[in-house]
Amino acid sequence: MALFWRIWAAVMLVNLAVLTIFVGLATLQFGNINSSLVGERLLVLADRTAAPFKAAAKIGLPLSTVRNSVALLERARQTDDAILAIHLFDAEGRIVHSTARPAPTAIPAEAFAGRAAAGGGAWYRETAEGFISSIDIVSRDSNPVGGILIVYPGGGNVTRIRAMAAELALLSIAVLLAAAALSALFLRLGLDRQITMFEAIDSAVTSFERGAWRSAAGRSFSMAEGDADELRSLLESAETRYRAEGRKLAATRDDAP
Amino acid sequence: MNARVRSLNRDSLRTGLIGMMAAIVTASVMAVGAASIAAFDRAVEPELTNRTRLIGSIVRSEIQHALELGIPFNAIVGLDRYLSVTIEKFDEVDRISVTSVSGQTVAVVERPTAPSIFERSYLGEVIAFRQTAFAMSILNGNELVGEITVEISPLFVQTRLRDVFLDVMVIALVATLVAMELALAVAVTSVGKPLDRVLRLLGQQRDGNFLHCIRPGGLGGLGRAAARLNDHAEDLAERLTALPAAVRSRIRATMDTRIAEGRPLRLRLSDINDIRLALFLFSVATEIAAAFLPLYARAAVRPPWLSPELAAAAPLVLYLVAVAVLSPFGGALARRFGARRLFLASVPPTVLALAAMGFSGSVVWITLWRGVMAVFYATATIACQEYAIRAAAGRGSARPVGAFVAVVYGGVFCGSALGGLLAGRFGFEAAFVSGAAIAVVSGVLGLVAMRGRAGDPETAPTPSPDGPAPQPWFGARFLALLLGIAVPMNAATAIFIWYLTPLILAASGSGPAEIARVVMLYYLAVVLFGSTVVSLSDGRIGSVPLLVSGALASGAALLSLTVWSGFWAVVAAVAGLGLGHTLIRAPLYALALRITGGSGAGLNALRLIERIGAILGLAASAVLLGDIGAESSIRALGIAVLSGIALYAIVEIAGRFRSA
Repeated sequence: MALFWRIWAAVMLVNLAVLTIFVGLATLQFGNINSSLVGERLLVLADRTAAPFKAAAKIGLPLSTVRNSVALLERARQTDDAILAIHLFDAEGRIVHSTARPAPTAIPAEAFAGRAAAGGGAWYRETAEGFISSIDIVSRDSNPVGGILIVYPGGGNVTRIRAMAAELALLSIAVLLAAAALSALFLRLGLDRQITMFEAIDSAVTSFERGAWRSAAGRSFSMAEGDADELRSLLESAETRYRAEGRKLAATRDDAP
Repeated sequence: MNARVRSLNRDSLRTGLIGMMAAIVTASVMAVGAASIAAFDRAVEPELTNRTRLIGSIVRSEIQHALELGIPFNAIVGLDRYLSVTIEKFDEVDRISVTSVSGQTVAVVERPTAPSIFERSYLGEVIAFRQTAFAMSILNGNELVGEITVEISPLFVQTRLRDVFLDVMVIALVATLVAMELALAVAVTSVGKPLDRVLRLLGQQRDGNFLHCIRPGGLGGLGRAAARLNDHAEDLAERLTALPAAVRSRIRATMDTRIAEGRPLRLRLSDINDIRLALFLFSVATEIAAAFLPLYARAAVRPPWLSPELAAAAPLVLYLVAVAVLSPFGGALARRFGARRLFLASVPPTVLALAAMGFSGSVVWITLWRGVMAVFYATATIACQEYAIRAAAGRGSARPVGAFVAVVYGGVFCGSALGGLLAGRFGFEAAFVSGAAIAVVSGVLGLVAMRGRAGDPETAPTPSPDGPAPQPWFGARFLALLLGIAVPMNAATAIFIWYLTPLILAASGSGPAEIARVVMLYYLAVVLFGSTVVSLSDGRIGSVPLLVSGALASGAALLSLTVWSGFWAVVAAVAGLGLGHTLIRAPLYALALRITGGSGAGLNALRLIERIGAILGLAASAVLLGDIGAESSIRALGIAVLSGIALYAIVEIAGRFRSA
């Protein structure tokens, strides 16, 4: 049974390792999916919030002159209580109007990088603090005159990811326990022939050892019948050869001057 | 000699153990995977709903804004047009209707869509989405004046959830591939090798060879037998060494037994499986950027003369060139310094290159470090291939190359999936650093596992012990194999899988994730069917019929696109080409080894021609695509593959006639 338990323990260890990898990767994937869904929602909001400012920019009005700018931004912010701030910024990234009190002076460095990578299109990015999403506002001659930036907290996202990790870990533990019981049964049935043969090898070694110490006491080796009798015969041949060579060496040592 | 025991060791126990272990672990992964899909489905539904609700609330606020300005509800000018613009903007919205409080329809727009074959499939129905319409009241001051209803396209939602399902399946496949490698390593280490070592030492000692000992350990009786046999060799060596030098020489001259002087040498057995886990992890590490490298390079700082497209392609081009340049020398290096030493020496520069790529800000440095990585990727993988071929004792079997290809492709599959996930969640730098860490682990495993004699420097060429007399590597049969089979195969991979498939699928509206999944099908074929092909190649069917069938299948897969088009046609062609190439790869190397008698020059030529085929393929597709189009390129490629197999068949038949 030593082989059976060794195999069972190995199967359980491999299963544990693989399920841990699976839970890790699936949690990462869920994080990616969740981020993309939140990001896409913020893109919709950024696009709709920018609409009145785009209209003003098209007719050449500076963004700072749009009437009720703060109210327009605040109306968009009220669509989701979780939104931290919505900023209206100019072409240099200076904040013109904002729902935040006090408003920062400029958009964060990540937003500059995001704008450069998006090349004027709408974009979102997950940062250490949460999400930022933005869209550029362009003038009649297609030059960017500013944009809308939404700042959204990442806490909810982290909580959802942790909840998913916990759920998957729990599922894995349940599956691992079920697999532990079922695999014991399947391994015993499925590897029955192999385990029996391995036990035959084990008993051939034991039988050879018994024969060896009995032969030292004067009893002759008795050949065993079984699956691994050839192994025992091989062990006996090697032992016989070793004893013969050992005796020769002993005799040589005794004869040496 | 103890045939039944050997049969238990080699075939029965190892195969049975791997099979059972893989089945149990795969079933566990699939069970958690199925439950994960349901969990994901539940978890993403609120966020999908939030987005649609947001669209509805934005439309409502616009209407309410008009009402606040005093415009009557049923006289808002341009409401239909506004709703049409909105519905065009948001793919998931199928229908928006605005009704008055009395139920009269004020405005309605809907999207005329017909579900595709896949969208109508059973999979779409399995993943259920519970709510598909949202109604919101419209207020004018304190008065309820109407209602706006936004209907979500169930097909859009099903497509999103189908993506989730497929993503989970890819992760489950990655975990299963890791499980297979771990199962194999555990089976070999815990049972296979200890029994092999005891049997080998027993055989030696029975024949009077007491020069060696083995690593102690093993289950029960095996461990005791190993200790006893080791003690035989050590005892005789100790007693012989204790004798005076003159007596020792006299004994040596008269004895037909060989006894070690000093400590007996440890017997180092080589097995093809020694390289598996180390190579698998090395392959995962080096392919960690496969999914995003073009994006990463395109976004990096680049010289003004370099276009974004060329910047995206530069790391791949230098990678291919570097691998092609190193290929002819890799085998010689492995034989000169030893496969183990070459592999271990390749790991630190690979780790450095991976980490440096993560922290490179410009496309020049990214490309340069990718080139460095390619050089050491070539030396490391060739070292492993040489180790596997030597471990199989140059029998011309497809098994070492089959195992090598399956492991590398398994690594490519897992590496690209893992890299995509890590980069998406933690950024590109984190993905590269993870790749570097995995490469370190692969080095440690190589250090522990590649201890067999196959990892030592080669002292003399080892000709094939049986089989026909080797031909020079530049003989007609070998050249026909290179030009008729190897070049078209690698050109087809480069042109169709790496270049045209992403372009065709992107043009038909597939996103990057979907394209990646389709391309993965090509590699999956090798992983799934590689071992079966090896058995067939080494068994009754033989290499040549498999080569011919593989080339015919590849040609047919490519030409199928001239009569059938669309997403599923490309999927079928990719899978068909993957299957065809699976039938070709391992038998191609086995045949090349047999023809050249395991000659290093022959293998080097094969490796070089494979890379040149890929480079020529990429260059040809880049140059010709604009002139002749994708369909004509694929047709020409299919014809080239079929012409190649015809050329090889003619040379093979002519050769057989001559020998007859």
